[in-house]
Amino acid sequence: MEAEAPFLLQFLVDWLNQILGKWIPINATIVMTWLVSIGIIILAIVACSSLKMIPKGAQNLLEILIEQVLQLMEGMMGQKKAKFFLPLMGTLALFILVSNLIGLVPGLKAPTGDWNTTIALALIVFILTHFFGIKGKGLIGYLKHFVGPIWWLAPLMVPIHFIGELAKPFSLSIRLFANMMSKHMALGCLALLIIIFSKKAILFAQTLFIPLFLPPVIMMLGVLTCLIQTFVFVFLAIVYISIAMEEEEH
Amino acid sequence: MEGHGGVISISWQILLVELASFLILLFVLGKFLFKPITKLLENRSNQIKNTFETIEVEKQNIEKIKQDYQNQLNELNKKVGEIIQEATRKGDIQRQEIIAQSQKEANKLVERATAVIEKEKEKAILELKNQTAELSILAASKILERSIDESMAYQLVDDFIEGMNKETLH
Repeated sequence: MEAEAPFLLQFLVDWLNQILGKWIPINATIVMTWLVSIGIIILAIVACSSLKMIPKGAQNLLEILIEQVLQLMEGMMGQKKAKFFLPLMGTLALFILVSNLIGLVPGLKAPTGDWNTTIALALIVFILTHFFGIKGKGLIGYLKHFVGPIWWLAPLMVPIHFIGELAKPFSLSIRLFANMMSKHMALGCLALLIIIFSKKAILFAQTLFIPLFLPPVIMMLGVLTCLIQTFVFVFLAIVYISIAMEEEEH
Repeated sequence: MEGHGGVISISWQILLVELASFLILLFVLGKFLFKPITKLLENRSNQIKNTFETIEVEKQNIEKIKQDYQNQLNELNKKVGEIIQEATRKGDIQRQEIIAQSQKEANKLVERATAVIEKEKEKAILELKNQTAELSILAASKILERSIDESMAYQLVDDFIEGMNKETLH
């Protein structure tokens, strides 16, 4: 029951499929991901083409976002690490935010509304978490963390920690994807209701306000959700990595 | 690649393409956005810090210059006061001198005038005395029609003038 992509998007998908279909699988999510990426890159190039000490326009917009992410990170992992991880977290924040918001545009689809995208993002966080965990503490030191403080509890603690670590990317990806998809679904259903109700407008005159006036409200909530989910994803990514790199506390 | 599963479905190919797309985005943004922006932010914070430091130094300089000017002003005020005092003192002395000089000159003038007057008076008295004597002798000789020897006549005149002096001059 995959929702059919809207006409323009479907057209783009078909066209790209003809060109690249032999090598790369193309669907609406991938096309949207590329559109979002290209949009962000253009914004970045526009903003950085004339960097000024007193920011304006696109530069200001990006600076605000980047500084917010940087502040969030500095609070949790210190200035040095924050600077190192800024490109990753900043890209995550930018990509997720734009992806979420673009889903609100009728006719377009949020790339983050597809589980594959969010899994890809969560996977990057997952891999980097453990990579830097091992790099920071050494392989043995890092594995010790799985055993726990009491060695004879290892048979119990190792599976628990193992599942816990696996649950992190799982929850991270599901949370973002489910939020975006459900918002998309709700808007889609309300749009369908308009069509159904308008055919029997005389009968349903009193109830027509539901599909007509609810979408804006859902949209407003949607914007809020987009912002919150972006924050949550980036926040948790920072937390996971900083915990993995920090000294053992539990 | 259409129609694979429902809404919640994982396709490894799509996942890999997404992964690659994101990594490319990460790479591009890292190069074109985060590098320059972090540099800019750093530069800006440095610049702001420098500016504040410069302002602090300038402030101290200004404070010093102000202090200097204040000192100079105080010194000047003191000097001016001294000059005025000096001038006043000199003026006073000159005034005293001038007054003394005038006093002296005035005294001299008065003295001289008094001397002249005294002399004139004496001369007048003498002349008056002589004339009076002659006149008296003439008058007396005519009235009495008898000769009186001259010494007696002068004796008389002297007596008379003495008496007159007592009456008129005093």
